[in-house]
Amino acid sequence: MSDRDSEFGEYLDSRAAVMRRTAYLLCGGDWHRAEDLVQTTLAKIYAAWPRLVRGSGIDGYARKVMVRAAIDDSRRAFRRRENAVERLPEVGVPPAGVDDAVDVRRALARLPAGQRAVVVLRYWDDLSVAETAKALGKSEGTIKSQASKGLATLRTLLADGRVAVEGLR
Amino acid sequence: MSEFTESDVRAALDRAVAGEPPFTLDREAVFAEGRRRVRRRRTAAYGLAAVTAVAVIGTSTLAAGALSTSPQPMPPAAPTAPATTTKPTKPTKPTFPASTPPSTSTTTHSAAPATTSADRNSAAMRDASIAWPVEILRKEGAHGEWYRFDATGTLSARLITKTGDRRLIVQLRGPEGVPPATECPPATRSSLVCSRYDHPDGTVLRVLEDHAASSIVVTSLRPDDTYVTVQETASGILPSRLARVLETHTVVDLALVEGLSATGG
Repeated sequence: MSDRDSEFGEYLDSRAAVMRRTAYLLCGGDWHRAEDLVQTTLAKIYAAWPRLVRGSGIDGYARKVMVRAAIDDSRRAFRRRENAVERLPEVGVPPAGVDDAVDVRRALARLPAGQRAVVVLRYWDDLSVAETAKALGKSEGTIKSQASKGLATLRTLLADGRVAVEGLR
Repeated sequence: MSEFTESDVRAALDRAVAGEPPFTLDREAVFAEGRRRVRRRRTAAYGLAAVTAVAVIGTSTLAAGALSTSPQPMPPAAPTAPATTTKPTKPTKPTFPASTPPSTSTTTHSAAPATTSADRNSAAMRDASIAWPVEILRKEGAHGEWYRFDATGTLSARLITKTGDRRLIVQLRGPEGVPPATECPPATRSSLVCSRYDHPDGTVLRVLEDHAASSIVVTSLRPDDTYVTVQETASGILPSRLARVLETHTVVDLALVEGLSATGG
């Protein structure tokens, strides 16, 4: 196994699970799309690995690639395509607070992709405004304004409870 | 909800990822796609270099021709063999030796073994002495009995408890391709705990516990180059249980079950 493969393999093992959670939130609550997103992101990281190792900016690059892929994906008209599968996919549902979790996912899915990315990077990945701006290639002012709008939308959707969120399905 | 603060958002996002299903990312596919991208990038770079070279040569030749004021002397014809023309040939169909009829697929059948490796591995798992927690009321396998491996060397079983299900996945694989990691990854989160052991019989064992996700992955690399990966995660199917049911030593015992092999027959 080459150095690239073994080093990248270590990186994959240590980050993939965490990346999947971020991807899941970025794509509005779909574990299967999240895994696709992680796979695409990791493949791009593999291709750029020698350059990334030299520059030691792997996580930043990973974030940038994943967010862009998520936003591009959500813009595509065929995003809601249906796939025939042999078996029903396993969908993670918590034993307690199921409705609550589903509400949050639906509310998150209602945010525009860019706004959702800001909310996820700021409040899930705990990035600063400057780091979020760098990851998304936007100004800090835009990030602040989108974070504020995202919070306001979530507040409205979640404050009105299930009726509001379900009405938006 | 009158106030919706940043900490409310963080809590909401936490709730949204609750009940995470088992991770099924295909490591091989990631490596394969990555390598494909590297190849495409190289091909594109060579292509660009070739196009640039042609453009430069073409431009300089044209420029030289356009700028010359006197006709260029023609070089003497070289004494070569009479010119020949090549008739365009029809694409030929592949030919087969008369004795071998063409076939669209070739299947080699060797003498069928009495039992498949899946059967042998299933039997080894069935007969293993594992101290299952009393909390587990029942075990249901995705391929029949809980201990049943499929042809790809994967065992997937629901561990049914009073407070919900957990998923047990055991995967066997040989050294080909990109094997699972047996080294501990760099510490990235405090909730991720990894340890590595070298057994006297040559088995290498890696135990990776994620306390945040309540999951555990134990990988053993055996002297016969078989990798056994055992993981316990949330079931992903209602009713799922978030807390682990298997003790670490039980998962380790599963990874060390004798007779499991991905390399034999």
